[in-house]
Amino acid sequence: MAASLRIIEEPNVIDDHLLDIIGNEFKFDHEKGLAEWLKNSADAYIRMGIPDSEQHIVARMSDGSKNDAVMEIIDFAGMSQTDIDKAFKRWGDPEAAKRGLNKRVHGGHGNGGKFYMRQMFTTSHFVTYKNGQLSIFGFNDKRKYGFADGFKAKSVKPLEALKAARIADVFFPEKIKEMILNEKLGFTVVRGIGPEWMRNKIKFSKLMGKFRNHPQARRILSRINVWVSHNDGDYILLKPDELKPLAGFEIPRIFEIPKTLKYFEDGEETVIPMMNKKYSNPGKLIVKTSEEALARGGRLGDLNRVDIVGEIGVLASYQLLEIGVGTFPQASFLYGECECQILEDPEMDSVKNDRAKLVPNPRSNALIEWIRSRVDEVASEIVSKEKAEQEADQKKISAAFNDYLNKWKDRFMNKIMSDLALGGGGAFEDGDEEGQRRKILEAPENGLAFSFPIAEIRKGEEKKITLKALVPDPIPIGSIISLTIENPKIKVIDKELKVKSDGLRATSKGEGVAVLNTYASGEEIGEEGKLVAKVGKLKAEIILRVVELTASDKAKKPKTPKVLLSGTDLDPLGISPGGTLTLTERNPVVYQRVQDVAEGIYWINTQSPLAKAILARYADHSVRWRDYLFQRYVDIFTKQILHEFQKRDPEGFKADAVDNALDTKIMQIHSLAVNDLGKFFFDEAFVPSKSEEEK
Amino acid sequence: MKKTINLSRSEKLLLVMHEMTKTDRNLKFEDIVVKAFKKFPEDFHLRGYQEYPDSGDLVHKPLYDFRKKGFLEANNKVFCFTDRGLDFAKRISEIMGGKTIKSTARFSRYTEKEIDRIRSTEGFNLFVQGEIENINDTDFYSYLGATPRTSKNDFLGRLSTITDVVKELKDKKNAPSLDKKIVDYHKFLVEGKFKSIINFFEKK
Repeated sequence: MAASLRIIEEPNVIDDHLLDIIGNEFKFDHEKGLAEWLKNSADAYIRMGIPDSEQHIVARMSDGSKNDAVMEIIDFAGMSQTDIDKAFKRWGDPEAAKRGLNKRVHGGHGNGGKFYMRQMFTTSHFVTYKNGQLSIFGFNDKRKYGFADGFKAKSVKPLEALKAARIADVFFPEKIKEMILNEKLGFTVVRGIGPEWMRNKIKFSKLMGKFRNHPQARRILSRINVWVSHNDGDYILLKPDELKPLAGFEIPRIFEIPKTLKYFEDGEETVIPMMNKKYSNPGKLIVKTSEEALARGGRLGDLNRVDIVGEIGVLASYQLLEIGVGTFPQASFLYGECECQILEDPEMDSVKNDRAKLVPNPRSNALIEWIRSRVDEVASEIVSKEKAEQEADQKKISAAFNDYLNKWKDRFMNKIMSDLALGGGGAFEDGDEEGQRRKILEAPENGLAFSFPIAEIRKGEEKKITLKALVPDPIPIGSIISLTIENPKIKVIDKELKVKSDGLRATSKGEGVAVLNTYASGEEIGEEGKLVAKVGKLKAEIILRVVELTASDKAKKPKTPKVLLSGTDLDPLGISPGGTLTLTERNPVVYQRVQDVAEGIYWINTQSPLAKAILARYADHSVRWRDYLFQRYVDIFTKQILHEFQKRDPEGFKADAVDNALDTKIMQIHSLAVNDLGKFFFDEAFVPSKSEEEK
Repeated sequence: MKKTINLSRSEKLLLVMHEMTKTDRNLKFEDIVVKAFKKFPEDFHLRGYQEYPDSGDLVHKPLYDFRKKGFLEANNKVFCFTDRGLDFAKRISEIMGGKTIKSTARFSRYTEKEIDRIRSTEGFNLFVQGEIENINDTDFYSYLGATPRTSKNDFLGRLSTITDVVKELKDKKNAPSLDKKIVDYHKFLVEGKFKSIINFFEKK
C-alpha cells in the first residue's frame, strides 16, 4: 500500500525564524557584508555586459547621532521589478545571481547581501531605478521585507529618481550621470541604517582596511573602480594592498593540483579524484610572497591566507595557521590562491552558503591538506634562504675579525721575526732595503744614529727603521730612547725603544752597539716627516718619505703571511673550485697548500672539529670564536718562528733552544695582544671598524 | 793480505761525514771540506794546488746529490744524515773496517722505522679500511714525512727514501699482509691521487 501512495506536492511553508537561524550562521562582520553587496553590484554590471573599466561603484558612509549611521553601496546598473520579484525576494536560489543568463557571476545562492541587510542593520533598503521605474525595497526593524509604500516600480524622471535616492550630489563620472539622465543606465543604492556595533560612528579607516583585502572583495576591487567616501569627504579609489614580493621569491610558485589526491582518515587511505568529465582541469595553487610579514593581528594579517577560487570568485578562504601550516614565522610571508573548479561540482558540492569555508568532505579535506603541504614547502625554502643568508652574514663577521687580526699581525710580525735573527746570532743587516744593505756594523759617531739619514716608505707598507746606540757608554743598557715624528700622517709603531742586552752587537773594533728596530708606515704619497730619537742629551734624526709602490715591489713576495678563512675567503690563487678553499675536519687547523707556501698564505680551517663546535654553539661574533682565531694566529707565528729559526740557525735548532725562543716570542705576542686587542677579546659587542683597524 | 776496496769520491765523502757524525750530528759544509781534504787529499784538493782543499762542486755536488737521494738533509749549508743516509754510510764504514755485510732477512733499521711510521699514520688506516675518499693531501705529506713547506730537494729526498722502502717491502718475501698494503698505498698516493704535488715539487 505504501508503495502505491502518491504525494501531492505543496509549496514549503517556512516560518521567518528559519531566516534568523540561517542568518545567524552568516556571522557577519561589516567588511564581509560590504563584500557581498559589492559582489551583487559587480554581478549587475556583468549581467549588463559592461566592461571592467567602465564599472563604477561608490561606497558612501556617514556617521549618525541617533543610532542612524548610514552605509551605502551604489552602482549604476539598476534593477527592474522583475529582478526584485524573481531574484531578490527569493531566498536560497542558487541561480538567483545569474537571473537566467548564461554568464559567470560572483553571487552564488544570492543570500549574502540580503542577509547582511536583514541581520546587521536596524533597518535597510535599496533604492533602484531602471527603465524609468523607481522601486524601494527593504527590511523594517522587525526584519520583514517589502516595498516602501508608494515606491513599487514608480515611474519617475531620472533626476527625480536620483534625488529620491539622495545621490544626486554623489561623485560619479559625468558620462554615467548623462547616461542615467538619458535613461540608458539605472542605479541601485543599497543602504543600511544603524549598523550593528557602530550605530553612530562608522570606523571607516579600519573597515576600509579590512574590506580592501577581504577574500570576497579583493579580486573585484583590483579589477573595477570602487570609490569610497566618509561623511561627504573626498572620494578615494579603493584598491587592495599591493604586496611587494619577498626578495629572492619574486616569482610566484605554481603547483598543479594532481589528478587525484590521497586523503587519510581514521587510518584509511582514500583516493579522491580532482577532475571528471565536467571539470577536466584539476586547477592549481599559486603561492606568493610578501616583503612585509602578514603577521596575525597586524595590518595585513588577514592576507596570510589561501583563497579557494572557483569558476568566478572566491569560494572559501583559509588562514595558513588555520589549515595547519607549521613553518612559521616564514609562512607569515606567504599568501596565495587555489583555483579548483571541481569544488563546485553539484555531485560533491563543497561550497558553503557564506563562502567562508568549504563544506568539509573528502575532496575539500584532501585539497586543504595538499595546500598545507605545498605552503609548508615554500616556507621551508624561505627557511633555507634565511639560513644561507645567516651563514653568509656570519662568514662576513668572521672575515672582519680575521681581517682585523691580519692587520694587527702585520704591524709587528716582521719585528718579531727579525728580532729572532738577532737573538739567534744571525748576521747583522743594517737596513733591509736593496742598495742600502750593509753587512759591516759601524758604531754611531755621536753615540746615537739611524742607519740612514733618509728612508723611503712605500705606501701601505711598513718600513723597518734601524737605530744604533753605542753602549754602555754613552748609552747604558736599560736606557729608554724616545721616538717622535712631526708629521702625523706618518706612523711609527714605537714611541719608545729600550736598550737591551739581547740586541747587542760588536763592531770590528770591539765597540758595543745596540741595534734597535722600529717600523714606520704612511698612506699618502709625498708625505714627509722627521723622526727624532732622543736619549738624554743625545739625539738622532732621519727623514721619512712616503713613496709609491712600484710594480717590482708589488711583485715581491709578501712580507708577512696572509691568513685566510677556509670556506669564507676567496682563494687569491684562484685554484680552488668554487672560489674558496673547502677543507674538512681531517685537514690541519692551520693549513697550507704547496702553492700557498710561496705566496705566504695560511688558511684557518673553519671545518676543524673545535672550530665547528664553537661556531655551532657560540657563532661567529662570539668572543670564543675570536679567541679561537687568535690562537690560530699564534699557531702561525709558531710555525713561522720554527722555520725561520731552523733556516737561520740550523746548528742551534735544538729542542731547548726552540722551546726558549717560543716562550719569549709567544710572550711578546700575548703582551701585544693584551695592549692592542682588548675590545676584541673582552667586548662581546665589538665589531671591527675601519678606524679600529687603523689604530 | 788486506783486500783493497775502491771507493768513489762520493762514498769517501760519506765515510768522512759518518766519522764526523760521531761527535756532532750537524755538519758544517766548511768542516766537511776540510775533513775530506785531510783524509783524502788526493781526491779533495783544489785543482792545481795540492796543499789546498777544494770547496767547490767537488764537494758541493755529491752532497746535494745525496740530499736528493734522501741520505742527507741540509739547511743553510749545515748537513745531517737521515736514517737512510746513516744506514748507508754505516755499511760503507763497516766494509772499510773489514766487516762482512751479510744479507739479512730483516729490513734495515731505517726501513723498519719508516714502515712503523707509515703503519701508524691515519691516512694508511683509512686506506686499509677502504675509506680512500677521505684521504687528503695532509695524509700524503704525513706519509712522506714532509710538509708543503719542505724544500724541493728534501721533499724529493724523502720521496726517494720512501720509494726505496716500498721497493724493499715489495721484494720482501713473507712480509705481513698489512705491510704489503703499504705498497698499494704508495701507488695510490704517489702514482695516483697526489701526483700533481710531486710534479709541483719537481718543477720548483
